Amino acid sequence: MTEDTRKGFGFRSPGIPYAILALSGFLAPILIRGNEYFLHIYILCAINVILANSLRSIAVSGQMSIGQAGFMAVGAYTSAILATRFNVPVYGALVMGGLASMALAALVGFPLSRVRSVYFVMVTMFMGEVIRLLIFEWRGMTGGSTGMMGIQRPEALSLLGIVQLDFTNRFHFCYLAFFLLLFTLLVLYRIERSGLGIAIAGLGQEEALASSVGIHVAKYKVLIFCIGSLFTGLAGALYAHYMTVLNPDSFGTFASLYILVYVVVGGKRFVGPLLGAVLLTLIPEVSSGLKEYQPFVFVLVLFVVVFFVPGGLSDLPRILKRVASKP
Amino acid sequence: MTRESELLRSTKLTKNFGGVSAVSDLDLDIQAGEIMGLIGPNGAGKTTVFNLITGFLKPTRGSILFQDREIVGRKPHQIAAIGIARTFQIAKLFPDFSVLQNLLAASHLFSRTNVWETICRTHRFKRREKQGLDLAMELVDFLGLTPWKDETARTLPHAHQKLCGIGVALASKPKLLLLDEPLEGMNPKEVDQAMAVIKKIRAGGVTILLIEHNMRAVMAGCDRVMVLNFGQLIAKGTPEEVRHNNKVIEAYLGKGRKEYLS
Repeated sequence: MTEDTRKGFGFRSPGIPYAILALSGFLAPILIRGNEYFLHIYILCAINVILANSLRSIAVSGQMSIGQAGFMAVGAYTSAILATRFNVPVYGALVMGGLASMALAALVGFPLSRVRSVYFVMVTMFMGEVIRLLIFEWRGMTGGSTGMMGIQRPEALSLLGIVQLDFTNRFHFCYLAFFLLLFTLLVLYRIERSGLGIAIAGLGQEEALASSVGIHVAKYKVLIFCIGSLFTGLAGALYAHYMTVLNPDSFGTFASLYILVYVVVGGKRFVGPLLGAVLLTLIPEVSSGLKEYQPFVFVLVLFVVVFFVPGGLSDLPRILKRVASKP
Repeated sequence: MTRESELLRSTKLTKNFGGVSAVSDLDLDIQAGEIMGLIGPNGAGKTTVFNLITGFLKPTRGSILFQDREIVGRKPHQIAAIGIARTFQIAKLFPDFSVLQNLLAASHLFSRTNVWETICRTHRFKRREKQGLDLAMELVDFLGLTPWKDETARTLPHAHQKLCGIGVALASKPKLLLLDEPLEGMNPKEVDQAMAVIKKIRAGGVTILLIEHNMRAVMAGCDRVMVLNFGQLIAKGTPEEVRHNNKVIEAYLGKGRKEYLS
Protein backbone atom coordinates (compact mmCIF):
# COMPACT_ATOMS: atom_id res chain seq x y z
CA MET A 1 0.00 0.00 0.00
CA THR A 2 2.68 2.46 1.03
CA GLU A 3 4.63 1.71 -2.10
CA ASP A 4 1.60 2.32 -4.27
CA THR A 5 1.07 5.92 -3.24
CA ARG A 6 4.62 6.91 -4.12
CA LYS A 7 3.71 7.25 -7.76
CA GLY A 8 0.65 7.94 -9.85
CA PHE A 9 -0.88 10.59 -7.60
CA GLY A 10 -2.04 8.33 -4.84
CA PHE A 11 -4.03 5.96 -7.05
CA ARG A 12 -3.33 2.27 -6.88
CA SER A 13 -1.44 1.17 -9.94
CA PRO A 14 -3.29 -1.34 -12.09
CA GLY A 15 -0.40 -3.49 -13.32
CA ILE A 16 -1.28 -7.08 -14.09
CA PRO A 17 -5.11 -6.91 -14.37
CA TYR A 18 -4.83 -4.23 -17.03
CA ALA A 19 -2.18 -6.21 -18.89
CA ILE A 20 -4.50 -9.21 -18.91
CA LEU A 21 -7.38 -7.07 -20.20
CA ALA A 22 -5.22 -5.65 -22.97
CA LEU A 23 -3.94 -9.08 -23.95
CA SER A 24 -7.43 -10.59 -24.09
CA GLY A 25 -8.54 -7.63 -26.16
CA PHE A 26 -5.73 -8.40 -28.55
CA LEU A 27 -6.35 -12.17 -28.68
CA ALA A 28 -10.14 -12.11 -28.81
CA PRO A 29 -10.45 -11.46 -32.57
CA ILE A 30 -8.16 -14.43 -33.26
CA LEU A 31 -10.33 -16.73 -31.17
CA ILE A 32 -13.56 -15.62 -32.84
CA ARG A 33 -12.06 -15.22 -36.28
CA GLY A 34 -14.37 -17.71 -37.97
CA ASN A 35 -17.52 -15.93 -36.87
CA GLU A 36 -18.27 -12.69 -38.74
CA TYR A 37 -21.05 -11.85 -36.31
CA PHE A 38 -18.82 -12.10 -33.25
CA LEU A 39 -16.24 -9.94 -34.97
CA HIS A 40 -18.98 -7.40 -35.62
CA ILE A 41 -19.85 -7.36 -31.91
CA TYR A 42 -16.19 -7.01 -31.02
CA ILE A 43 -15.95 -3.85 -33.09
CA LEU A 44 -19.15 -2.43 -31.60
CA CYS A 45 -17.78 -3.16 -28.13
CA ALA A 46 -14.56 -1.31 -28.91
CA ILE A 47 -16.47 1.72 -30.19
CA ASN A 48 -18.79 1.71 -27.19
CA VAL A 49 -15.88 1.46 -24.76
CA ILE A 50 -14.26 4.50 -26.37
CA LEU A 51 -17.55 6.37 -26.03
CA ALA A 52 -18.09 5.30 -22.44
CA ASN A 53 -14.57 6.08 -21.29
CA SER A 54 -14.70 9.48 -22.96
CA LEU A 55 -17.94 10.28 -21.19
CA ARG A 56 -16.49 9.11 -17.88
CA SER A 57 -13.49 11.38 -18.26
CA ILE A 58 -15.88 14.30 -18.75
CA ALA A 59 -18.28 13.21 -16.00
CA VAL A 60 -15.43 13.10 -13.48
CA SER A 61 -15.30 16.90 -13.70
CA GLY A 62 -18.92 17.05 -12.60
CA GLN A 63 -20.23 17.48 -16.15
CA MET A 64 -22.70 14.67 -16.73
CA SER A 65 -23.33 15.10 -20.43
CA ILE A 66 -26.19 13.33 -22.17
CA GLY A 67 -25.54 14.90 -25.51
CA GLN A 68 -22.55 12.74 -26.36
CA ALA A 69 -24.31 11.03 -29.26
CA GLY A 70 -24.44 14.48 -30.82
CA PHE A 71 -20.65 14.79 -30.62
CA MET A 72 -20.37 11.26 -31.95
CA ALA A 73 -22.57 12.30 -34.88
CA VAL A 74 -20.40 15.35 -35.57
CA GLY A 75 -17.35 13.07 -35.74
CA ALA A 76 -19.13 10.48 -37.86
CA TYR A 77 -20.60 12.90 -40.39
CA THR A 78 -17.52 15.09 -40.65
CA SER A 79 -15.37 12.09 -41.39
CA ALA A 80 -17.88 10.51 -43.77
CA ILE A 81 -18.47 13.73 -45.70
CA LEU A 82 -14.76 14.47 -46.01
CA ALA A 83 -14.03 10.96 -47.25
CA THR A 84 -16.95 10.54 -49.65
CA ARG A 85 -17.39 14.06 -51.00
CA PHE A 86 -13.94 15.58 -50.73
CA ASN A 87 -11.80 12.49 -51.30
CA VAL A 88 -9.85 12.97 -48.10
CA PRO A 89 -7.98 9.77 -47.18
CA VAL A 90 -9.96 7.93 -44.52
CA TYR A 91 -7.23 8.17 -41.88
CA GLY A 92 -7.14 11.92 -42.28
CA ALA A 93 -10.93 12.02 -42.21
CA LEU A 94 -11.00 10.02 -38.96
CA VAL A 95 -8.70 12.53 -37.30
CA MET A 96 -10.72 15.43 -38.70
CA GLY A 97 -13.87 13.83 -37.31
CA GLY A 98 -12.38 13.80 -33.84
CA LEU A 99 -11.10 17.35 -34.21
CA ALA A 100 -14.48 18.63 -35.43
CA SER A 101 -16.14 17.19 -32.36
CA MET A 102 -13.46 18.74 -30.19
CA ALA A 103 -13.89 22.10 -31.89
CA LEU A 104 -17.60 22.02 -31.15
CA ALA A 105 -16.83 21.15 -27.52
CA ALA A 106 -14.44 24.10 -27.32
CA LEU A 107 -17.16 26.34 -28.70
CA VAL A 108 -19.91 25.30 -26.29
CA GLY A 109 -17.61 24.28 -23.44
CA PHE A 110 -17.23 27.67 -21.81
CA PRO A 111 -20.93 28.53 -21.56
CA LEU A 112 -21.53 24.93 -20.46
CA SER A 113 -18.88 25.20 -17.73
CA ARG A 114 -21.07 27.79 -16.05
CA VAL A 115 -24.08 25.48 -15.95
CA ARG A 116 -24.35 22.94 -13.18
CA SER A 117 -26.04 19.69 -12.16
CA VAL A 118 -29.45 19.04 -13.66
CA TYR A 119 -29.27 22.16 -15.84
CA PHE A 120 -26.10 20.86 -17.43
CA VAL A 121 -27.86 17.57 -18.13
CA MET A 122 -30.80 19.33 -19.76
CA VAL A 123 -28.69 21.68 -21.86
CA THR A 124 -26.46 18.88 -23.17
CA MET A 125 -29.48 16.75 -23.95
CA PHE A 126 -31.07 19.44 -26.07
CA MET A 127 -27.73 20.18 -27.66
CA GLY A 128 -27.41 16.58 -28.77
CA GLU A 129 -30.89 16.71 -30.19
CA VAL A 130 -30.19 20.00 -31.99
CA ILE A 131 -27.13 18.47 -33.64
CA ARG A 132 -29.20 15.55 -34.83
CA LEU A 133 -31.85 17.86 -36.25
CA LEU A 134 -29.23 19.96 -38.04
CA ILE A 135 -27.87 16.83 -39.68
CA PHE A 136 -31.41 15.88 -40.56
CA GLU A 137 -32.06 19.24 -42.19
CA TRP A 138 -28.76 19.72 -44.01
CA ARG A 139 -29.76 17.27 -46.73
CA GLY A 140 -27.31 18.46 -49.35
CA MET A 141 -24.36 17.30 -47.33
CA THR A 142 -25.69 14.67 -44.97
CA GLY A 143 -28.42 13.05 -47.00
CA GLY A 144 -31.00 14.05 -44.39
CA SER A 145 -33.30 11.26 -43.29
CA THR A 146 -32.10 8.89 -46.00
CA GLY A 147 -28.64 9.14 -44.50
CA MET A 148 -25.33 8.48 -46.18
CA MET A 149 -24.28 5.34 -47.96
CA GLY A 150 -21.12 3.95 -49.47
CA ILE A 151 -18.77 5.40 -46.92
CA GLN A 152 -15.34 3.92 -47.53
CA ARG A 153 -13.56 1.61 -45.18
CA PRO A 154 -10.05 2.82 -44.32
CA GLU A 155 -7.44 2.21 -47.01
CA ALA A 156 -5.34 -0.93 -46.84
CA LEU A 157 -2.23 -0.64 -44.71
CA SER A 158 1.08 -2.37 -44.88
CA LEU A 159 2.95 -2.55 -41.59
CA LEU A 160 6.68 -2.62 -42.39
CA GLY A 161 5.85 -4.78 -45.37
CA ILE A 162 5.23 -7.75 -43.08
CA VAL A 163 1.56 -7.51 -42.18
CA GLN A 164 -0.96 -6.52 -44.82
CA LEU A 165 -4.10 -5.03 -43.31
CA ASP A 166 -7.20 -4.87 -45.48
CA PHE A 167 -10.00 -3.16 -43.61
CA THR A 168 -12.77 -4.43 -45.82
CA ASN A 169 -12.04 -7.58 -43.88
CA ARG A 170 -13.79 -7.55 -40.50
CA PHE A 171 -11.03 -9.41 -38.75
CA HIS A 172 -8.50 -6.81 -39.81
CA PHE A 173 -10.87 -4.00 -38.90
CA CYS A 174 -10.99 -5.40 -35.37
CA TYR A 175 -7.35 -4.46 -34.97
CA LEU A 176 -7.92 -0.91 -36.14
CA ALA A 177 -10.65 -0.62 -33.52
CA PHE A 178 -8.45 -2.27 -30.93
CA PHE A 179 -5.59 0.08 -31.67
CA LEU A 180 -7.77 3.20 -31.42
CA LEU A 181 -9.32 1.89 -28.21
CA LEU A 182 -5.92 1.25 -26.69
CA PHE A 183 -4.73 4.69 -27.75
CA THR A 184 -7.82 6.34 -26.23
CA LEU A 185 -7.51 4.49 -22.96
CA LEU A 186 -3.80 5.22 -22.70
CA VAL A 187 -4.31 8.95 -23.19
CA LEU A 188 -7.29 9.14 -20.83
CA TYR A 189 -5.50 7.04 -18.24
CA ARG A 190 -2.41 9.19 -18.31
CA ILE A 191 -4.50 12.32 -17.96
CA GLU A 192 -6.39 10.87 -15.03
CA ARG A 193 -3.25 9.80 -13.18
CA SER A 194 -1.59 13.18 -13.20
CA GLY A 195 -1.66 16.55 -11.57
CA LEU A 196 -4.00 17.60 -14.32
CA GLY A 197 -6.34 14.66 -13.73
CA ILE A 198 -6.40 15.04 -9.99
CA ALA A 199 -7.22 18.72 -10.36
CA ILE A 200 -10.08 17.87 -12.71
CA ALA A 201 -11.46 15.16 -10.44
CA GLY A 202 -11.04 17.50 -7.49
CA LEU A 203 -13.03 20.31 -9.02
CA GLY A 204 -15.71 17.76 -9.86
CA GLN A 205 -16.04 17.05 -6.15
CA GLU A 206 -15.68 20.53 -4.61
CA GLU A 207 -15.55 23.40 -7.02
CA ALA A 208 -15.06 26.18 -4.46
CA LEU A 209 -12.28 24.33 -2.69
CA ALA A 210 -10.56 23.63 -6.01
CA SER A 211 -10.57 27.29 -6.99
CA SER A 212 -9.32 28.26 -3.52
CA VAL A 213 -6.12 26.30 -4.11
CA GLY A 214 -5.50 27.86 -7.49
CA ILE A 215 -7.26 25.46 -9.85
CA HIS A 216 -8.75 27.32 -12.81
CA VAL A 217 -12.13 25.61 -12.71
CA ALA A 218 -13.65 26.85 -15.97
CA LYS A 219 -10.47 26.21 -17.96
CA TYR A 220 -10.15 22.61 -16.80
CA LYS A 221 -13.83 21.89 -17.29
CA VAL A 222 -13.58 23.05 -20.90
CA LEU A 223 -10.30 21.21 -21.37
CA ILE A 224 -11.59 17.83 -20.28
CA PHE A 225 -14.82 18.37 -22.19
CA CYS A 226 -12.71 18.95 -25.32
CA ILE A 227 -10.53 15.90 -24.74
CA GLY A 228 -13.50 13.65 -24.04
CA SER A 229 -15.31 14.97 -27.10
CA LEU A 230 -12.24 14.43 -29.28
CA PHE A 231 -12.41 10.70 -28.57
CA THR A 232 -16.20 10.68 -28.78
CA GLY A 233 -15.90 12.16 -32.26
CA LEU A 234 -13.18 9.68 -33.15
CA ALA A 235 -15.43 6.83 -32.07
CA GLY A 236 -18.19 8.29 -34.23
CA ALA A 237 -15.87 8.50 -37.22
CA LEU A 238 -14.74 4.92 -36.68
CA TYR A 239 -18.38 3.90 -36.51
CA ALA A 240 -19.10 5.66 -39.82
CA HIS A 241 -16.25 3.97 -41.65
CA TYR A 242 -17.10 0.61 -40.16
CA MET A 243 -20.83 0.62 -40.84
CA THR A 244 -20.31 2.40 -44.20
CA VAL A 245 -23.83 3.80 -43.82
CA LEU A 246 -25.05 6.60 -41.55
CA ASN A 247 -28.46 7.70 -40.42
CA PRO A 248 -29.27 10.56 -38.03
CA ASP A 249 -31.58 8.26 -36.11
CA SER A 250 -28.56 6.41 -34.71
CA PHE A 251 -27.56 9.52 -32.77
CA GLY A 252 -30.66 10.38 -30.76
CA THR A 253 -30.97 11.01 -27.05
CA PHE A 254 -31.36 7.29 -26.45
CA ALA A 255 -27.91 6.68 -27.88
CA SER A 256 -26.54 9.26 -25.45
CA LEU A 257 -28.38 7.64 -22.59
CA TYR A 258 -26.93 4.24 -23.45
CA ILE A 259 -23.43 5.67 -23.13
CA LEU A 260 -24.38 7.07 -19.75
CA VAL A 261 -25.75 3.69 -18.65
CA TYR A 262 -22.46 2.00 -19.63
CA VAL A 263 -20.68 4.40 -17.30
CA VAL A 264 -23.13 4.03 -14.43
CA VAL A 265 -23.26 0.24 -14.65
CA GLY A 266 -19.49 0.09 -14.95
CA GLY A 267 -18.77 2.18 -11.91
CA LYS A 268 -16.44 4.89 -10.79
CA ARG A 269 -13.07 3.34 -11.48
CA PHE A 270 -11.19 3.61 -14.75
CA VAL A 271 -12.07 0.07 -15.92
CA GLY A 272 -15.73 0.71 -15.12
CA PRO A 273 -16.89 2.00 -18.50
CA LEU A 274 -15.04 -0.85 -20.23
CA LEU A 275 -16.87 -3.46 -18.17
CA GLY A 276 -20.21 -1.70 -18.48
CA ALA A 277 -19.96 -1.11 -22.22
CA VAL A 278 -18.82 -4.64 -23.02
CA LEU A 279 -21.46 -6.28 -20.84
CA LEU A 280 -24.30 -4.13 -22.13
CA THR A 281 -23.21 -4.55 -25.74
CA LEU A 282 -22.95 -8.31 -25.37
CA ILE A 283 -26.22 -9.05 -23.56
CA PRO A 284 -28.71 -7.85 -26.17
CA GLU A 285 -26.54 -9.01 -29.09
CA VAL A 286 -25.71 -12.49 -27.91
CA SER A 287 -29.22 -13.31 -26.78
CA SER A 288 -30.55 -12.34 -30.18
CA GLY A 289 -34.20 -12.57 -29.16
CA LEU A 290 -33.71 -9.70 -26.74
CA LYS A 291 -32.50 -7.17 -29.23
CA GLU A 292 -35.84 -5.42 -29.65
CA TYR A 293 -36.14 -5.19 -25.89
CA GLN A 294 -32.83 -3.40 -25.44
CA PRO A 295 -34.18 -0.56 -23.26
CA PHE A 296 -35.85 -3.18 -21.08
CA VAL A 297 -32.62 -5.12 -20.69
CA PHE A 298 -30.78 -1.92 -19.81
CA VAL A 299 -33.28 -1.03 -17.12
CA LEU A 300 -33.04 -4.53 -15.66
CA VAL A 301 -29.25 -4.52 -15.59
CA LEU A 302 -29.28 -1.02 -14.16
CA PHE A 303 -31.60 -2.08 -11.34
CA VAL A 304 -29.60 -5.18 -10.52
CA VAL A 305 -26.38 -3.19 -10.40
CA VAL A 306 -27.79 -0.32 -8.38
CA PHE A 307 -29.24 -2.72 -5.80
CA PHE A 308 -26.47 -5.28 -5.51
CA VAL A 309 -23.30 -3.50 -6.60
CA PRO A 310 -24.02 0.17 -5.99
CA GLY A 311 -20.42 1.08 -6.79
CA GLY A 312 -20.80 -0.41 -10.29
CA LEU A 313 -19.19 -3.47 -11.85
CA SER A 314 -15.67 -2.19 -11.26
CA ASP A 315 -16.44 -2.38 -7.56
CA LEU A 316 -17.20 -6.13 -7.76
CA PRO A 317 -13.69 -7.36 -6.82
CA ARG A 318 -13.77 -5.31 -3.64
CA ILE A 319 -17.24 -6.53 -2.69
CA LEU A 320 -16.35 -10.16 -3.43
CA LYS A 321 -13.22 -9.80 -1.34
CA ARG A 322 -15.23 -8.47 1.55
CA VAL A 323 -17.80 -11.26 1.25
CA ALA A 324 -15.06 -13.89 1.05
CA SER A 325 -13.24 -12.57 4.09
CA LYS A 326 -16.36 -12.85 6.24
CA PRO A 327 -16.28 -15.97 8.42
CA MET B 1 3.89 54.28 0.99
CA THR B 2 2.93 51.51 3.32
CA ARG B 3 5.27 50.00 5.80
CA GLU B 4 7.22 47.05 4.56
CA SER B 5 5.80 44.66 7.09
CA GLU B 6 2.20 45.30 6.06
CA LEU B 7 0.87 42.31 4.15
CA LEU B 8 -2.75 43.19 3.56
CA ARG B 9 -4.79 46.33 3.90
CA SER B 10 -8.40 46.97 3.11
CA THR B 11 -9.91 50.41 2.89
CA LYS B 12 -13.61 51.20 3.10
CA LEU B 13 -14.37 47.60 2.24
CA THR B 14 -18.12 47.23 1.88
CA LYS B 15 -20.43 44.44 0.83
CA ASN B 16 -24.17 44.88 0.56
CA PHE B 17 -26.57 42.03 -0.04
CA GLY B 18 -29.66 43.74 -1.34
CA GLY B 19 -30.36 46.35 1.31
CA VAL B 20 -28.42 44.57 4.02
CA SER B 21 -24.88 45.62 4.70
CA ALA B 22 -22.86 42.51 5.55
CA VAL B 23 -19.62 44.43 5.81
CA SER B 24 -19.41 48.20 5.86
CA ASP B 25 -16.44 50.53 5.54
CA LEU B 26 -14.05 48.03 6.98
CA ASP B 27 -10.43 49.14 7.27
CA LEU B 28 -8.23 46.29 8.27
CA ASP B 29 -4.50 45.81 8.19
CA ILE B 30 -2.55 42.63 8.67
CA GLN B 31 1.13 42.75 9.48
CA ALA B 32 3.44 40.10 8.07
CA GLY B 33 4.11 37.34 10.53
CA GLU B 34 1.27 37.92 12.95
CA ILE B 35 -1.72 35.87 13.95
CA MET B 36 -4.66 38.21 13.70
CA GLY B 37 -7.92 37.11 15.27
CA LEU B 38 -11.23 38.06 13.70
CA ILE B 39 -14.09 37.60 16.11
CA GLY B 40 -17.65 38.72 16.49
CA PRO B 41 -21.13 37.35 17.13
CA ASN B 42 -22.83 35.12 14.56
CA GLY B 43 -23.76 37.05 11.44
CA ALA B 44 -21.24 39.80 12.12
CA GLY B 45 -19.79 39.40 8.62
CA LYS B 46 -16.59 37.52 9.39
CA THR B 47 -16.93 34.88 6.69
CA THR B 48 -18.02 37.59 4.24
CA VAL B 49 -14.67 39.30 4.88
CA PHE B 50 -12.93 36.03 3.96
CA ASN B 51 -15.01 35.70 0.82
CA LEU B 52 -14.16 39.25 -0.18
CA ILE B 53 -10.42 38.80 0.37
CA THR B 54 -10.30 35.50 -1.53
CA GLY B 55 -12.37 36.70 -4.46
CA PHE B 56 -15.40 34.49 -3.86
CA LEU B 57 -17.43 37.67 -3.45
CA LYS B 58 -16.97 41.01 -5.14
CA PRO B 59 -17.09 43.96 -2.79
CA THR B 60 -19.74 46.61 -3.38
CA ARG B 61 -16.95 49.14 -2.95
CA GLY B 62 -13.60 49.54 -1.29
CA SER B 63 -10.18 48.19 -2.00
CA ILE B 64 -7.96 45.38 -0.80
CA LEU B 65 -4.22 45.68 -1.22
CA PHE B 66 -2.10 42.58 -0.84
CA GLN B 67 1.60 43.43 -0.79
CA ASP B 68 0.61 46.80 -2.26
CA ARG B 69 -1.23 45.21 -5.17
CA GLU B 70 -4.94 45.71 -5.69
CA ILE B 71 -6.67 42.30 -5.60
CA VAL B 72 -10.31 43.32 -5.86
CA GLY B 73 -11.73 41.88 -9.04
CA ARG B 74 -9.38 38.93 -9.25
CA LYS B 75 -10.75 35.38 -9.39
CA PRO B 76 -10.28 32.95 -6.50
CA HIS B 77 -7.72 30.84 -8.38
CA GLN B 78 -5.70 33.95 -9.21
CA ILE B 79 -5.74 35.07 -5.61
CA ALA B 80 -4.57 31.62 -4.54
CA ALA B 81 -1.71 31.95 -7.01
CA ILE B 82 -0.46 35.22 -5.50
CA GLY B 83 -0.32 33.70 -2.04
CA ILE B 84 -3.62 33.88 -0.16
CA ALA B 85 -5.18 30.60 0.93
CA ARG B 86 -8.25 29.90 2.99
CA THR B 87 -10.10 27.15 4.74
CA PHE B 88 -13.85 26.81 4.86
CA GLN B 89 -16.12 26.93 7.86
CA ILE B 90 -17.57 23.51 7.19
CA ALA B 91 -14.44 21.44 6.61
CA LYS B 92 -14.39 21.29 2.84
CA LEU B 93 -12.30 18.51 1.38
CA PHE B 94 -12.30 16.51 -1.82
CA PRO B 95 -14.44 13.80 -0.22
CA ASP B 96 -13.61 10.88 -2.54
CA PHE B 97 -9.87 11.42 -2.35
CA SER B 98 -7.51 10.08 0.27
CA VAL B 99 -5.79 12.56 2.56
CA LEU B 100 -2.69 12.36 0.41
CA GLN B 101 -4.66 12.91 -2.78
CA ASN B 102 -6.37 15.91 -1.23
CA LEU B 103 -2.98 17.44 -0.64
CA LEU B 104 -1.77 16.43 -4.10
CA ALA B 105 -4.76 18.08 -5.72
CA ALA B 106 -4.15 21.14 -3.56
CA SER B 107 -0.49 21.31 -4.61
CA HIS B 108 -1.78 22.03 -8.11
CA LEU B 109 0.10 25.34 -8.39
CA PHE B 110 3.37 23.42 -8.08
CA SER B 111 2.56 20.11 -9.76
CA ARG B 112 0.46 21.21 -12.74
CA THR B 113 1.58 20.30 -16.24
CA ASN B 114 -0.07 20.91 -19.58
CA VAL B 115 -1.92 18.24 -21.55
CA TRP B 116 0.98 17.46 -23.81
CA GLU B 117 3.47 16.96 -20.99
CA THR B 118 0.91 14.86 -19.17
CA ILE B 119 0.23 12.53 -22.07
CA CYS B 120 3.88 12.14 -23.05
CA ARG B 121 5.11 11.83 -19.47
CA THR B 122 7.97 14.23 -20.16
CA HIS B 123 10.88 14.87 -17.82
CA ARG B 124 9.18 18.03 -16.68
CA PHE B 125 6.07 16.02 -15.84
CA LYS B 126 8.09 13.62 -13.72
CA ARG B 127 9.84 16.46 -11.96
CA ARG B 128 6.58 18.24 -11.22
CA GLU B 129 4.93 15.00 -10.14
CA LYS B 130 7.73 14.49 -7.65
CA GLN B 131 7.48 18.09 -6.45
CA GLY B 132 3.78 17.69 -5.77
CA LEU B 133 4.30 14.39 -4.00
CA ASP B 134 7.15 15.71 -1.86
CA LEU B 135 5.07 18.71 -0.86
CA ALA B 136 2.08 16.51 -0.01
CA MET B 137 4.16 14.05 2.02
CA GLU B 138 5.81 16.90 3.86
CA LEU B 139 2.40 18.34 4.75
CA VAL B 140 0.99 14.97 5.85
CA ASP B 141 3.95 14.68 8.15
CA PHE B 142 3.69 18.29 9.34
CA LEU B 143 0.03 17.85 10.30
CA GLY B 144 0.66 14.52 11.99
CA LEU B 145 -1.73 12.77 9.60
CA THR B 146 0.73 10.17 8.34
CA PRO B 147 -1.23 7.19 9.75
CA TRP B 148 -4.35 8.42 7.93
CA LYS B 149 -2.79 9.43 4.65
CA ASP B 150 -4.50 6.71 2.60
CA GLU B 151 -7.86 7.11 4.34
CA THR B 152 -10.72 8.50 2.27
CA ALA B 153 -11.42 12.06 3.37
CA ARG B 154 -15.15 11.55 3.94
CA THR B 155 -14.56 8.76 6.48
CA LEU B 156 -12.00 10.73 8.47
CA PRO B 157 -12.79 11.82 12.06
CA HIS B 158 -13.93 15.43 12.29
CA ALA B 159 -10.78 16.84 13.89
CA HIS B 160 -8.61 15.17 11.25
CA GLN B 161 -10.84 16.56 8.51
CA LYS B 162 -10.28 20.02 9.94
CA LEU B 163 -6.51 19.48 9.99
CA CYS B 164 -6.57 18.10 6.48
CA GLY B 165 -8.50 21.19 5.41
CA ILE B 166 -5.71 23.37 6.78
CA GLY B 167 -3.22 21.17 4.93
CA VAL B 168 -5.11 21.66 1.68
CA ALA B 169 -4.87 25.43 2.13
CA LEU B 170 -1.18 25.18 3.00
CA ALA B 171 -0.44 23.16 -0.11
CA SER B 172 -0.77 26.31 -2.19
CA LYS B 173 2.17 27.70 -0.15
CA PRO B 174 0.38 30.87 0.96
CA LYS B 175 1.90 33.98 2.48
CA LEU B 176 -1.42 34.73 4.12
CA LEU B 177 -3.63 31.97 5.47
CA LEU B 178 -7.26 32.62 6.33
CA LEU B 179 -8.66 30.09 8.78
CA ASP B 180 -12.43 29.97 9.17
CA GLU B 181 -13.25 28.42 12.55
CA PRO B 182 -10.52 25.79 12.46
CA LEU B 183 -11.30 24.69 16.03
CA GLU B 184 -15.04 24.29 15.60
CA GLY B 185 -16.33 20.99 16.98
CA MET B 186 -13.04 19.97 18.59
CA ASN B 187 -12.56 18.79 22.16
CA PRO B 188 -10.08 20.69 24.39
CA LYS B 189 -7.24 18.31 23.67
CA GLU B 190 -7.77 18.60 19.92
CA VAL B 191 -8.00 22.37 20.26
CA ASP B 192 -4.56 22.46 21.88
CA GLN B 193 -3.10 20.27 19.15
CA ALA B 194 -4.65 22.37 16.40
CA MET B 195 -3.45 25.62 17.99
CA ALA B 196 0.03 24.13 18.18
CA VAL B 197 -0.17 23.41 14.45
CA ILE B 198 -1.38 26.95 13.75
CA LYS B 199 1.54 28.39 15.70
CA LYS B 200 3.91 26.10 13.86
CA ILE B 201 2.53 27.40 10.57
CA ARG B 202 3.18 30.97 11.70
CA ALA B 203 6.68 30.01 12.79
CA GLY B 204 7.18 28.83 9.21
CA GLY B 205 6.63 32.41 8.04
CA VAL B 206 2.94 32.34 7.17
CA THR B 207 0.73 35.18 8.34
CA ILE B 208 -2.62 34.08 9.71
CA LEU B 209 -6.05 35.64 9.88
CA LEU B 210 -8.16 33.53 12.20
CA ILE B 211 -11.92 33.46 12.61
CA GLU B 212 -12.76 31.58 15.77
CA HIS B 213 -15.43 31.39 18.43
CA ASN B 214 -13.22 29.63 20.94
CA MET B 215 -12.29 32.64 23.06
CA ARG B 216 -9.73 30.87 25.18
CA ALA B 217 -7.77 29.91 22.06
CA VAL B 218 -8.16 33.33 20.46
CA MET B 219 -7.02 35.18 23.55
CA ALA B 220 -4.07 32.86 24.05
CA GLY B 221 -3.01 32.45 20.46
CA CYS B 222 -3.49 35.76 18.67
CA ASP B 223 -1.14 38.71 18.57
CA ARG B 224 -3.96 41.09 17.74
CA VAL B 225 -7.71 40.76 17.56
CA MET B 226 -10.35 42.57 15.53
CA VAL B 227 -13.98 42.50 16.56
CA LEU B 228 -16.80 42.81 14.04
CA ASN B 229 -20.42 43.46 14.87
CA PHE B 230 -23.11 43.98 12.24
CA GLY B 231 -20.43 44.33 9.61
CA GLN B 232 -18.55 47.06 11.39
CA LEU B 233 -15.24 47.05 13.15
CA ILE B 234 -15.92 47.85 16.79
CA ALA B 235 -12.54 47.12 18.31
CA LYS B 236 -9.00 46.30 17.35
CA GLY B 237 -5.97 45.67 19.51
CA THR B 238 -4.17 43.13 21.63
CA PRO B 239 -6.32 40.38 23.16
CA GLU B 240 -5.93 42.14 26.51
CA GLU B 241 -7.26 45.46 25.17
CA VAL B 242 -10.12 43.86 23.34
CA ARG B 243 -11.14 41.76 26.28
CA HIS B 244 -11.77 44.85 28.39
CA ASN B 245 -13.39 46.89 25.65
CA ASN B 246 -16.92 47.78 26.69
CA LYS B 247 -18.28 47.78 23.14
CA VAL B 248 -17.06 44.22 22.69
CA ILE B 249 -18.58 43.05 25.91
CA GLU B 250 -21.88 44.66 24.95
CA ALA B 251 -21.83 43.09 21.51
CA TYR B 252 -21.38 39.65 22.93
CA LEU B 253 -23.37 39.75 26.13
CA GLY B 254 -25.28 42.92 26.52
CA LYS B 255 -24.22 45.34 29.23
CA GLY B 256 -22.43 44.47 32.42
CA ARG B 257 -21.35 40.84 32.06
CA LYS B 258 -17.58 40.76 31.85
CA GLU B 259 -16.94 37.28 33.15
CA TYR B 260 -17.59 35.52 29.81
CA LEU B 261 -14.54 37.00 28.17
CA SER B 262 -12.21 36.73 31.09
